[in-house]
Amino acid sequence: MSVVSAARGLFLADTNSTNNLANSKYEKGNYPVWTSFNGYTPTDASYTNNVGTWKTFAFWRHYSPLYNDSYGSYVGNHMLNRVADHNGTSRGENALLGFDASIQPRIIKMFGSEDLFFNINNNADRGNGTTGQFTNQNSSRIVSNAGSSLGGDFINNAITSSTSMSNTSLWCRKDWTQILDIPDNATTVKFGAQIKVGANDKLKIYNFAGIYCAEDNVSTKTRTVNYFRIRHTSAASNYSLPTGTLSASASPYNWTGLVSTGEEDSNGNIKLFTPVSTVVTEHASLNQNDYEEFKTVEYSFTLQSGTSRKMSFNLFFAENAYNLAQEAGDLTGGFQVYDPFVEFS
Amino acid sequence: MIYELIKTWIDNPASVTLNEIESAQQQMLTQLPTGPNLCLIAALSLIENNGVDAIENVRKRIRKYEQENNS
Repeated sequence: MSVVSAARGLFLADTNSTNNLANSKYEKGNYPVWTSFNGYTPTDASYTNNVGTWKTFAFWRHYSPLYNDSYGSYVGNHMLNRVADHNGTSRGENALLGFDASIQPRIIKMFGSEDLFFNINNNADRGNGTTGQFTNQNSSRIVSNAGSSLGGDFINNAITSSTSMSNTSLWCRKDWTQILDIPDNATTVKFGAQIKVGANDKLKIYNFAGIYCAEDNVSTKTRTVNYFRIRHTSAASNYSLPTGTLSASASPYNWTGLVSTGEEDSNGNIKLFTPVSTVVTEHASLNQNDYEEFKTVEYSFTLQSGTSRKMSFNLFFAENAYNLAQEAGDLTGGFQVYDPFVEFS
Repeated sequence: MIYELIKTWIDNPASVTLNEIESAQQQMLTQLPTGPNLCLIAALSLIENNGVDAIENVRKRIRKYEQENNS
């Protein structure tokens, strides 16, 4: 259940007094751009003021299946000033910060690529046959989410080598991921953030964004996902995504990403994970027109049982395959997030 | 100037050195990361990491730069 309240004033306050996330306000001066390694894990405590390509944020791990530059994958984000430019009638917009801006709390704005870049991405069943956790980047699924109510039914029908990467029922999703230790005595978790889709940069039709939490059972190759999303306003964009226990054919094409255990490969990068069974709960599908100003959203769910557990927390931007394939060059829309939080209890 | 350097590389990749590309990348990190500037950063990274194999993608980034600059 969501609790929504407007953030007051020109200066965004913290979202939640308790937060298990580290560097939730991207305060270390890092500014990754264009491309990076999936799962790249630096020494977080000393990772400050790293700007440009092949970088990350301290404590946050990059994931995108959209390879755009050698063995790097697409990074699409701006960093914005949390102090808005007040225009007299509303809060105003938050200005774009430079690479060399001083260390300060920042808003992250995620956006899409509007391009498939290379043929390796124009292959809807890429990764077919690889499940569980793995290290071969070429085996990641380019289809990160698949639906049944737009251009095709990929919940009841398999994605094959002849499936077009311009089908409106397919999405390619990129994440900023943080791996969290779940306290042994915790049974529930609350997660959320202050979010916004600005009036001047609305999500393009069929694109959606949001936050998901993943809990993986590596031995059974099962992923449990809890998420909310924000979407385009049109009736055509009010489509459903698969929830509940997904079919064996649909599971590997939904909510793939970095393994939530945080296990690393020999290069120190977090391994990838493609589930064979996926259990999904959608907490909300929000209309972007209701979020032109920052509002706090938060949701709760019951954790999987056990001890020494881990969970991934993921900010995401899901770009529709049709929009990717068109390469129209127009704006994808931007999803703004300030001070996301996780609270275990 | 960096736009012209990339256009020169597209016309004749051998006429631009890796040092010039790396120097241009450093210069771009002193600019505001606007949409057009991200296109130039992408083009320079593609040239550095992929060379002529990425020439079509470099061309696309430059077309996008021109489109955003003129919009």
